[in-house]
Amino acid sequence: MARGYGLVRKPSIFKKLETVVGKGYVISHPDDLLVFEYDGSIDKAVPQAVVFPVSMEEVRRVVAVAQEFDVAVVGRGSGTGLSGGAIASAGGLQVALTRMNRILEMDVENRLAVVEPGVINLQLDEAARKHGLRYAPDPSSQRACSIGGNVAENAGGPHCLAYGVTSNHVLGLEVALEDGSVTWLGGRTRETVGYDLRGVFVGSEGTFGIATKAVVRLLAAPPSIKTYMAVFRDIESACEAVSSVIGKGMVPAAMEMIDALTIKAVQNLHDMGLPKDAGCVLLVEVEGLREEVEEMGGEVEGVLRKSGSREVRWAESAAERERLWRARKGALGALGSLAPNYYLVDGVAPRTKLASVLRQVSEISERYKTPIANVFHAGDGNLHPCILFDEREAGSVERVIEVGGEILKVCVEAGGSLSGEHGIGLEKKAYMPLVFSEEDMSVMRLVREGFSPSGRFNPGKIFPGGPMDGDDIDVRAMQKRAVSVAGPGAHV
Amino acid sequence: MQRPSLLQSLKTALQGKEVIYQKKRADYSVDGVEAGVVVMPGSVEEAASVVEAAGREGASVVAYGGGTKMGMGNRPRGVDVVLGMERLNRMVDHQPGDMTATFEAGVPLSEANRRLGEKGQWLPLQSPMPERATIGGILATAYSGPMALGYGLPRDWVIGMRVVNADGRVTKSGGKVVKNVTGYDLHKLYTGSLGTLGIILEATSKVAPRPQVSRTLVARFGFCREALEASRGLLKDYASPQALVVVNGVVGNLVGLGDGWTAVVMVEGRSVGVETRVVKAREYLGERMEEVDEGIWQRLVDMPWREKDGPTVCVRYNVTTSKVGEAMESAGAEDGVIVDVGMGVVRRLWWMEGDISKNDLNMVAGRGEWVVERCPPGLKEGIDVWGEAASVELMRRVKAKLDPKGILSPGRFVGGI
Repeated sequence: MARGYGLVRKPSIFKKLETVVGKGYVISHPDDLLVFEYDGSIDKAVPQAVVFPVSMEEVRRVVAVAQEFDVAVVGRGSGTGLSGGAIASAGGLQVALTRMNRILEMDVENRLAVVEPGVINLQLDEAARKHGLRYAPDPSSQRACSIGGNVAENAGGPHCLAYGVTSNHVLGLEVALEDGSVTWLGGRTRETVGYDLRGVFVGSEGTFGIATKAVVRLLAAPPSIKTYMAVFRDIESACEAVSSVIGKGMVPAAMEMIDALTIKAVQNLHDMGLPKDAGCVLLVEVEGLREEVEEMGGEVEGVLRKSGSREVRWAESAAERERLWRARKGALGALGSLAPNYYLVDGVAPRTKLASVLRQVSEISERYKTPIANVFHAGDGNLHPCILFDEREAGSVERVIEVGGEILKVCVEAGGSLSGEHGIGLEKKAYMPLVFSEEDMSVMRLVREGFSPSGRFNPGKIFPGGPMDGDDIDVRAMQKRAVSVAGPGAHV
Repeated sequence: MQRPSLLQSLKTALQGKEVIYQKKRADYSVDGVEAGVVVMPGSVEEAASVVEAAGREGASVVAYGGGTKMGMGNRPRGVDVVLGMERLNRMVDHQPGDMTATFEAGVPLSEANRRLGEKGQWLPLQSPMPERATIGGILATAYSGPMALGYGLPRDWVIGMRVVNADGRVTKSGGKVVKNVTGYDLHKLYTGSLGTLGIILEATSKVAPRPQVSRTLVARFGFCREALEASRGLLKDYASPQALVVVNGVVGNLVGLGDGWTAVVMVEGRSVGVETRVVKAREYLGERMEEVDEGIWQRLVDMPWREKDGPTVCVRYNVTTSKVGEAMESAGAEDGVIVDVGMGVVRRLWWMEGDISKNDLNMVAGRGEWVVERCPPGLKEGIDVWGEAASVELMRRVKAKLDPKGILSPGRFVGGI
C-alpha cells in the first residue's frame, strides 16, 4: 500500500513542536523554508517545517511528535551531500542539527571524541590536532560538512585510501528512533557485544533514525608528510602510475587526480601552481615517520617518473602543500569558470579498470558533445566526472541526465558501484537495480523496518519506487530539477 | 534429534547429491547439543536449498566452519541441521591490483593467506588455529587478535558478502570495490552475528601488501602496573607498534614467556620505520627488551582455546585503554591474564577443577561489558554468556525481521536471540 507522509495538515503540530524546541526554532513560512529545499546543489524539494533542536532530548521529543502526527522526518546536517539525501522529498519535518555543534569530550588518553551531529568535520580535526591527534576522514567539503551528515552517508575523502571511510572511525552512536526512544549503538570501545548496529546505521542515509551523538576514533597525527605533484601527458598514463604505485606494495595516504579541463578551471581563477599545459596532474601524499616518508617518498617518485610523468615535484613548505590541496578541494567550485552548470557523478570502478572506464567516459563525452571534467580519488577508484553544461540550452538537462546514467552503467559493468561517498539518496535510486536484485534490496528494507517500522525517517530515498519509498516521487523530474540548479558552490 | 520428514525434504532439495552425513552427527555437536543431520553443500545453490528446506520444516540451522570457535555463544535451542562449510572452500577471485579478494566461507585463514601470499599480499586477521578457522567463521564471530591494533577488526576489512537468508534466498550486500556506499552495509551486520541473521557463504575483503619486516619483542616487568604504564606510554607515540599485549606469569609459563608480567610487541612495516619503532619501544619498555620468534603471537591467540591445557573459562572484557587496569583488578594469582592494551580487550582465563558454579562465573564477570568466550556447556544454562549488551530490543527487532521463524542458530546470540 502506498502512503504519503507529506502533509503536516494540523496546525497544532507547530504549536507542539514549539513547546519542544522553543519559539523561533520552528520554521514554517514558505519563504523561510526555501533555504532548506536543496542539499549542496542537487535535488530540490521544500519541507513543510524545519525544526532546530539543541539537544538529544529535544530531538527525541521532536521525533515523538512526528510519530504522533504521522509525518515524515528528515535529518539535515550542513546540506552538502549532493545526492538528495537531506531533501524532504515527501514533505514533512526537516530536523536541522546545526545547533547541536558541540565537541562534548576530547578523550586524549583513549584517542576518541564525543561530538554532537552538527559539529563540522574540519573543526573536529582541528580540535584533535591540538592534542597531536587527527580525525582521518576528510571529505573535500570538510570546511562545511557535519559529522552527522558524514555518518549518514558514510562519507569518504582523499585520505580514506589509507585510513578507511567514516564507518571505520565511528565507535558509537546515540540515536533517536521513531518511537521517541533513544539508544546507544556501540560505545567507546572498538570491540563491542551484539549486532554491529552502528556499522549498518552508518551509511543508512537517515532512513533508520537520527544520530544525536557520535563517538569517533582519533588517530595520531603523522610527524612527517610529503605531497607530490606529478604531471602527465594524459589521464591514462596517470592511471597506470597509480596502479604501479599500488603494485609495488605501497599505499600512500592519498592519490588524487585532476584532469586537464579541471586544471584549466582552477587556474582560471587563481594561480594554484598547476601546470596549464598538463594532460593530467596526480597528487600523491605520503605520511608517516620522517625516515619512512623519505624512503617511500623516494620510491613513489621513482615509480611516477618511470610511469611517464614528465615532471614530479613536491611541496617544499606547509603553505605550498596547503595550496595544492586547496586546488584539489576547491576544484569543483572552480568549474563555474568553464560553464554555468555542472552535474557531478559519484561512481566507483575497480582501481585497475580506471583507465578503461575513463576512456569510456571520454567517449561518452564526445558522443554527447558534452564536456566532462574529472577530479577524483584515483587511489580507491572513486570517480567524479563533472558534466559541464548550460541549462539555458534547450534539451541540455535531459542530455546531462542521460550522460550521468551512461557513466554509472560503465562503472557497474567494470565491476564497480553507484556511489563511493555521497550516497544514493534521491539522485541514484533509479539505478539501484543495476547493482542489487529485488531480493537483495528486500533484505535491506527488512533491516530498515527493524529500525523504523513505519519508514517515516527519510522516506523515498535509496530504494526505487514501492510503498514507503515515496512512490509519488518522479526521480527523473527530481534529477532534472537537480541538474538545473547545480552550481559552482558544491564540493567533492 | 532426527526428523524423518526433514531428512526427506533435504534429500529432495539436494536431488540425491551425497552431501548428507548422518553418521557424523556426534562430531558436529554444538555445546553438547548433537546435530540432527549434517549437510555439506558444495555450492551456494546447495546451501540455499538446505536452508530453504529446513525453513519449510521449521528446523533450526547452525553453520559450522572449522569448528574452532563453536564454543562461543549461548547453548543453541536446537541444532536440527548443521550446515558444514568445508566444501565451500574456493578462492573465488583475487585482484592484486585492486587489493581485493573473494573467498568462499569455508576457506581456512591460513589457506587464504597462503594464496594471497603468492602475490605478496595478505588479509591481516588473526584467529586461534588458523589452519582450521575459516574466513566465514572468523567473520561470523568477528574474532580478532592483537594485530587488530595496527590493522583493524574483521569489520574493517570486509567490503561485500553473499549470504543465505533464513528463507533460503541468497542475497548480497556491498561489492568488490574498496569504497562503496551503495545500499546498506549489511555485511557489517552479518559480521559478528554468529549466523543468526544469515549464513555467510562468500565474502569479499580488502587485502593489504605484506609488510617487508616483522619483529617481535618482549620485555618483562615485576608488577602489572609497570607493564601497563609502559605500554600505555608507548601507545601514545606515533611510532607505536602493530600489536601490544601484556600477559601475566600464568599465561607466560604456558606459552614459553616465563614468570612475571611480560609485554609482547609486534613491529611491522618498511625496515627503516621498524628500526625507529624498535628504538621507541625500548624507550618505554626499557633496556631489558629482547627479540623473540614471531610464533609467540599464534601461541598467545590460541591460548584461550587450547584443548590440552587450555582454560576452563575465558571471559573477555571490552574496555577503553585507560580502564584496562581496573578490568583486571580482581584477578587472582591463579588466573591467567592477557591484556590487549591498545584495543581495550582484557581476557581472563581460569583453570578450575571439578564443577564450576554460576556464582564463580558471576564473580568473574560483572564489570563493564563482557563475554564468556569459553566455558563448559553445562554452565551456560541459565546465564547469558554475552553479558548485558546495549540496545538488545533493537537487535531483537532486526532478528525478527530477518529470521521471523527463528531458525538460524536459535538461542545462541545476545539476549537469547
